[in-house]
Amino acid sequence: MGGASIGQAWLLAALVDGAFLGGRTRDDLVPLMAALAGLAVAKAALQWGADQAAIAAASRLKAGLRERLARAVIARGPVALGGERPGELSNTLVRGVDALDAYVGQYLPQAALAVLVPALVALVVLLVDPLSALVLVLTYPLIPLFMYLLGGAAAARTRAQWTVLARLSARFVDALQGLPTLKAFGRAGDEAAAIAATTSRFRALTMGVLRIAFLSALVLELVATLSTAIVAVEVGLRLLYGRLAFQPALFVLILAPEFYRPLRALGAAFHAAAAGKEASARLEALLSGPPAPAAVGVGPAEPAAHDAAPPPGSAPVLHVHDLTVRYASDREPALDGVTFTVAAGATVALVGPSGAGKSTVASAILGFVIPERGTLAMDEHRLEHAAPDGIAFTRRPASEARRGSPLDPDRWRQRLAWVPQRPYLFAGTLADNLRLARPDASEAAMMAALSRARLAEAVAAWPRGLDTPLGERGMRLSGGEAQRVALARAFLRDAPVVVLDEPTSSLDVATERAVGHALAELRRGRTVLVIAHRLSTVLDADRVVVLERGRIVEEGVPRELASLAGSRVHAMLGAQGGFR
Amino acid sequence: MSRALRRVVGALRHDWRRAGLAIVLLVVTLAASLALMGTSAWLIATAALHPSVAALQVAIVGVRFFGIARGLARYGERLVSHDVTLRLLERLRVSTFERLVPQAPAGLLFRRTGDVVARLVGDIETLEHVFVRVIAPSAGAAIIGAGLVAAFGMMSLAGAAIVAAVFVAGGVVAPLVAHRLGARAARRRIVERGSLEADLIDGINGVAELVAFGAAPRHVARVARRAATMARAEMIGGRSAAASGALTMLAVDLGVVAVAAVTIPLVADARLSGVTLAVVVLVVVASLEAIGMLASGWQSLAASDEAARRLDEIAGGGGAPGITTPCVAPPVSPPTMQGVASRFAIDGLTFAYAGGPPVLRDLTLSLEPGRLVALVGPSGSGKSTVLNLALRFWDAAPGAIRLDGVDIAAMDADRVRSQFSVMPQRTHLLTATIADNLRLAVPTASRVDLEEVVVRARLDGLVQVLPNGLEEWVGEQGVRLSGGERQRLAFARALLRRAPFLLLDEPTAHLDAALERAVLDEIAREARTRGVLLITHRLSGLEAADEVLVLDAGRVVERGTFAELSRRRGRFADLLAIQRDELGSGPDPFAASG
Repeated sequence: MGGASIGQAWLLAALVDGAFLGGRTRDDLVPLMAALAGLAVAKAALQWGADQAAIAAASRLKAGLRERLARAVIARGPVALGGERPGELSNTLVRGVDALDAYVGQYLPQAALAVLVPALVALVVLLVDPLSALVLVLTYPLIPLFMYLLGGAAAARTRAQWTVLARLSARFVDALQGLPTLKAFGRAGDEAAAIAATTSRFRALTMGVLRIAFLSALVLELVATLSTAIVAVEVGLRLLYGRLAFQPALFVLILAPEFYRPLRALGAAFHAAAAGKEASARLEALLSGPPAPAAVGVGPAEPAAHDAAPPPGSAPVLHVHDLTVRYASDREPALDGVTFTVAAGATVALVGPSGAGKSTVASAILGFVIPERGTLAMDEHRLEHAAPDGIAFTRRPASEARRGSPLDPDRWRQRLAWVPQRPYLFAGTLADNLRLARPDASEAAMMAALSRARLAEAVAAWPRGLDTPLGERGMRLSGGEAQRVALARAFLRDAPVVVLDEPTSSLDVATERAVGHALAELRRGRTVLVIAHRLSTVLDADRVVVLERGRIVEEGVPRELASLAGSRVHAMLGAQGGFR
Repeated sequence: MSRALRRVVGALRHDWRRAGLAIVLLVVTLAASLALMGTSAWLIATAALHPSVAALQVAIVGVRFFGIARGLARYGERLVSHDVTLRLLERLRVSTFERLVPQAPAGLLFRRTGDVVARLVGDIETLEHVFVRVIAPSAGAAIIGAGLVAAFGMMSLAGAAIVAAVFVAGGVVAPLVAHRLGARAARRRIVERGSLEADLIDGINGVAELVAFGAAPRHVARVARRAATMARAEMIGGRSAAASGALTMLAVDLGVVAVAAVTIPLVADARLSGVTLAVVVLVVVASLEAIGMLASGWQSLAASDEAARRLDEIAGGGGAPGITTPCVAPPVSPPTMQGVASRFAIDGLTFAYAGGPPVLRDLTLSLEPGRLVALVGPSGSGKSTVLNLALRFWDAAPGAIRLDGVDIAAMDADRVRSQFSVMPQRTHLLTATIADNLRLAVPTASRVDLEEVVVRARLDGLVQVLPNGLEEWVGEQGVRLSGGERQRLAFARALLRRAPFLLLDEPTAHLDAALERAVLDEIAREARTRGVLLITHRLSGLEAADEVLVLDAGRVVERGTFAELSRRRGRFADLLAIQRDELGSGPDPFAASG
């Protein structure tokens, strides 16, 4: 490219010189003109290829990055992601990567050109006219210098300004989302005025910053144009006194702007690049964020290959031994030495005030958190998390040293079905949502699962049946229906162990009844841990475990405890009976 | 360019002086650039003829002058055009907000508000390129092109034709190619980006399910496929951008050769000086600057177009599909009700949201100060719709809802709303202090007033532990409040406003038993002086209600006092049984320890 430009300048200078001073006619100059035209075509083709290659490379890079980011985010697991806002995260993943475009796709290649092209031009000019080469080489460092001096100050202020602008956006979002509230209190008009006032104040501030930010561009332009002017005058004067021929003089004059062009393009890309650089820092933080406490398998391999040891057909015993969990920032452990056993095919109800650690027990059993201490086992198979470096580090108490083969979280979870309190429905059809539990499930199998979840009748009434779209843009299911989709997933999974977070009541008699029947059927022949929200569920369970502040405070057969004055279960019964 | 984008561009007319100045400055910049090259060429070509130094003096000064003028004009142009853009965005933000006000929440309900709003903000920002990268450079190129053609025309018609051809090829054809070919790819890319974003959000929200069912690898693979499709769309767009950029360059380079070809014979015939030849050739070389950036600017137009279209659709301008235009009809006659109303009555109300089945059927109830009415039923039974209709967020059938006998449909909406103090089901907190959030209800409320409602809403404990008390920031940049705290803040807000009717939607949903009791006591106390409508799915605390209405699928299936209903073996008794089975709905046995 640079070479083509230099060749073009040389031919053009020769052409003008030939006609102007050489007295040549057009016919004499046809070869020169043909060469120029040929060079123009070649240069355009080169430019086209180079641009396309740069865009393709940037696109591929971004696609790879998006995949890595998606993996990194999911790998952080449910517990770590619980505190994040999905909108913000996805914004970083989508727009943050887009912002990289300007940096990777434009700024970096331009930065390379800004060194290579001027070097080439200076070299050629040096051969033709050393003095002009000296002018170019002397002015070159001025540009990066000024860019550094002014750009540094401007960049800091620009960054501050972007924060302010982001806050302005947040304010706008805030006002829009709060519109119903604002209207209800008759304050929407005030808010419109407030938005107008803040935006115009921020505009004034922004302009203040731009005045300085554009100074660096001004200096760059001035240096570039003035040194072109200096070259023109210096060359012109030497021409006047006959110390330089016309053709090299014109050649140098045509080339002088080419010397500065990549630098000016670099300056233009500078602003966009700043945003991209910011984004790349944020993305880097995401990629190198804290290692996944969940040790989530998101590798390319589908865990179907794991089925070397198929899940047992019969329900196993679930052992929870000395389970202690501490969340990163907390001093007090969320669970402290929790030990209990769910017998094969039995149901244990877990109760306790909110914050007692019930969900943490479920998270640990699902492998979402790595316990600080303790073991979880199905029959003799322990759950064994891998440390980030791949070394198994769950401590094994000496007494259990010679037990059966450990299971990694993926294989452990294959033996588990989970029914959360508020199941999440993905954008996709009902069938897609069911196949989450079993990717190869047939339609008949799905219908059977739906019927056991007491949802088949409702689905049969939907015009598109299994193909009904759900999720954000799909049909809105009621809480009870979503709950039954989750139950159908569990039936379809057909795992021997079930972790169940019982739904709170929906005040809908028919739904209550349907969910109740489905739950009873799901429990049959499976080992079940249920976080109970209903008295009847507690009383129906084989055992009840009462948690308070991360410790077990009471455990036993529900009906026995119920008749034991002073027990917590007894108090619970009394409280429910005494509804006023 | 779509109608929506034309409307955005049209908004520039409010600022036509500044927009014009920006274009003038751009033309000065480009002209100075051409003059710099032309004068330089003249300078050395003349010098080659060895005249006296004096002959070159003017040119030497000119070269310096044009060099400085160009830099300064460029600086001014960038400042002014960015100012124009910022003002345009400002106007768009305010006008979008104003257009959304009459529709909220009716027009927004069935869209995902959070997402829509975020997109709205992003869309407005996308429009920042329209003036700086498309309109101003196009106008500048047109003026410079016309000027050059005229100047060349004085010398040679063929030369003028060539310059015109260069400007048409590089300034019109190449940008149109970029716009047309690029538009489809750009639109495709925007669609793919939306799906990618939806997939990512889906994955983050559903991460627990993905992990529990071992579906995380499948999810990542799907994201990877989407990202690859998006990359393909980008590459297609990139191909046309690269092609049009190369086309512009080719047009200028070939133009230089062509101009030389028509000018050289004139020099040979001595009809034109050789000096002019040098000037002419270099001016054409320099003209690339005027049209070089147009192609990429026009390619960005597809994204702006899409953004403007979406903005229009959401903000309900000009009949975009799927949007109900003004959801609430303006009053046909001036309000006849004066001052404070003393009776709120719903009579035989049946209501359906556009295109849906009825959510309320034949509802009748009345409220006056001193009366507490409870509306209970499962979620989705239509309870909250009553609130939306009372506030005229939607309009009910004429005559169905009245204040002091006056149809609210005939009253000014703000006047209607002034009769109610509301606590909606979902609490919205502004990113501001607790005091600001309370004063949303009554801007003039005194500190004492605020402290009183804070105590009554049982928020005093929280406010005491906050470092800045009532002046503590909440929401995005402040402390994150729990669901129960937000709810009590909304309750305090509703208490603060002394309207004759208090409408409460699920005021205790996130509260533990002790707090629920306390809040219900406050509600009963309010009901001594105001008319209170309590919408709830919890049956506790309803003993104090003068009337309880049990809703199911929009229909009142039972009504009476708490005592009557619990004796009757009907729906209410069933619900009561379900709720008594639930742990934590009665006085909480864990309350002391938890």
